[in-house]
Amino acid sequence: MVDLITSSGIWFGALLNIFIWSLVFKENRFYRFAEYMFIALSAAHFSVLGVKSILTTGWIPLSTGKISYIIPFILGFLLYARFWDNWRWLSNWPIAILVGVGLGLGIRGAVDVSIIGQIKSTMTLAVFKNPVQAGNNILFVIILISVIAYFLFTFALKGPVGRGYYYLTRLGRLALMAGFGIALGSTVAVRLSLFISQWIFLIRDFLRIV
Amino acid sequence: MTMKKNTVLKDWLRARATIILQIFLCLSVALPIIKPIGLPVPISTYTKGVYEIVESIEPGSIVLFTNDVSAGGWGEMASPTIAVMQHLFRRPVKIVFVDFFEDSPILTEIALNKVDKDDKVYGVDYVHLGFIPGYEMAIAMFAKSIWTAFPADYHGTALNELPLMANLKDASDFDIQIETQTVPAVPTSFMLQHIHSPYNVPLVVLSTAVSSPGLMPYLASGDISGITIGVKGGAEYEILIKTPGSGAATMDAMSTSHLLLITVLIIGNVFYFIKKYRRP
Amino acid sequence: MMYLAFIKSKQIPLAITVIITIFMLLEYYYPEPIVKNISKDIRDWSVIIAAFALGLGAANLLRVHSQNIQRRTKDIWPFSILLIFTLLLFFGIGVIFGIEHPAYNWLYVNGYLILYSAVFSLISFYVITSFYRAMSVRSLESGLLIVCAIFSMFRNTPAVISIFPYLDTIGSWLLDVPNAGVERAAIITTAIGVIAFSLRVLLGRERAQLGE
Repeated sequence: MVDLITSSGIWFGALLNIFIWSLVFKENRFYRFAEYMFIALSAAHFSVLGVKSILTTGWIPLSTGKISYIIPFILGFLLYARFWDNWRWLSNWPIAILVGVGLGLGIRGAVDVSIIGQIKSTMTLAVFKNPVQAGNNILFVIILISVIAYFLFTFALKGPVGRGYYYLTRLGRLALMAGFGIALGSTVAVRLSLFISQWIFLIRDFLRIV
Repeated sequence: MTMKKNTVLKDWLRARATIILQIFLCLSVALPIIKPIGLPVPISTYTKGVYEIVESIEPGSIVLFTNDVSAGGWGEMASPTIAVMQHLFRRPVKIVFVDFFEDSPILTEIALNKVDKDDKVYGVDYVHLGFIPGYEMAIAMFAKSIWTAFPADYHGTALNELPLMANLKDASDFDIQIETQTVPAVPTSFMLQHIHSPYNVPLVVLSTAVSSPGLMPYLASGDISGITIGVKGGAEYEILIKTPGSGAATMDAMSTSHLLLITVLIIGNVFYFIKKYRRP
Repeated sequence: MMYLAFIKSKQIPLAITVIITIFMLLEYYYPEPIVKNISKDIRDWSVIIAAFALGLGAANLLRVHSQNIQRRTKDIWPFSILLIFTLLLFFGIGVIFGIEHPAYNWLYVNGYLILYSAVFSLISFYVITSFYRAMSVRSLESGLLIVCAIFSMFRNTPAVISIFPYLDTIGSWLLDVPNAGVERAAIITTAIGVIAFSLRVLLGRERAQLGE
């Protein structure tokens, strides 16, 4: 019985995999079947976890005496008011709370970790230790400044300063291209590793060739 | 006649270049899986660094393992996640598993079922708390008060019934954090802001290949103590802990498929320059 | 009527956003007990509201696809039936039996996990054709991009770097120095952008979250 359940699962998964890959030839009903199933499973899984989290993080404290937790329950239900035109305005209140918390936490993180932390680390780079490390650090700082200069669109500089600034931004553009190249190589590695994992599933588990 | 045949062949190949390349790609992946070659896998300094960090965790320490892997990234991240988990279970440390992304709780359970737990007891040596929604809000809530974020664990057991959780109140009670990072919704900067920075918990990241370039500034600044990169990092880690798994199985195919892509890229550019500079 | 119009207006949600953002910032920069307690409650409530938000996608799908079935939208309505059936089945199993139930795990592992990986791996087919047709060295910038991509790909080719270790050294250097400089600049400029966007939301100039 367990073998039947396992092998039916493998057949189901393999067929869905082949249906998705059939898009390479052309769009067809098998691909659509798998696509709609994927959307349904994804939405259902998120909803199930939502229900579980409401019960764990919300209902347990409410049932043990924290009456104030009724407020997020009411606000949570108000989110679904957006499906009725006349009551859509009610859903703006819980969204406003989520946006407010997200903004507050986001600003804190942006200032503390992303700006101050990164600038502090840049300013404490060693340039008087071994020459290779010093060279790397100097190049690092030049690239950092040139890329930041490239993203500055607030004003235009003219004259000799403007010309120098233009060459700085050109260096920034080249550095950005190098960064994009590395990102491209990394993205290829990710996609190929997922591609390979699907082939391993098909060859070892489904076709049982190895 | 021969020239006409060559032109017909060239046109035929040109029209079918896409499908021919895709067949080559499938063969470059399938053949090494069917017949493994056993190509060598050198260990990178990044993976070695993470291995040494885990190996040097003090006995009795409490490790926070945050799993933020998406189902789409599991094919790549299963290997480093399971390998590092296995290494942790072999060490005399206690582990708390938490998930901040929707796909992660079941993947954490799948990984826990695959590792050899080496006589470690659930509730005493390790606990899986489960998933909490809200991404950054959830991490902030968890860091400030674990018991408020999780009144019960993944299996529904109240936290006061789990001996490991008795003295864990907030993020400062953890000695090190290991994060698997795949999704943009839960970036490492959230962990840095809410757990690493305020509570001085060292952070090690098991990253996908695509996220790793963005994490290099944090590694350079010392905010992140160590990083493994993608399935190759996982394969290297499996070799270091002498437990080959799914990562090592993909390495032959990774080598052959990458070589094919690099060759196609170079050949494509050669044809481009020939066409560009051919006399009319 | 005036009061009702005011309650329905966008001013109240904007005010809520501003007040809560101020409390979140005050908690960090001015951690007095009363501020901390109010911020803690707001944050804890927001997690529960976020849990409710997880069901919005499914609710919207049910609404849209039941309309497709009602209207018998050509070529779509049979798939809409499939979607609604699968959604309700998976949701029902998860809520009634729990996510640890074997049936839920069966659908998750053999359906959701496989489909997700298959969709993401589909791009590999198009990567190889784009490498052949589109990735040509047309300028200094594109040449630099392709050269760096090649070195980055060599880093993920263990067989080659075991024979030519300097390829891994060059790839690692590219990752550690130029890439780290570019990414740090991106982190700083993105953070400035986040602060600017937050200010726009707080001043009421950005109202996308209110459906405008």
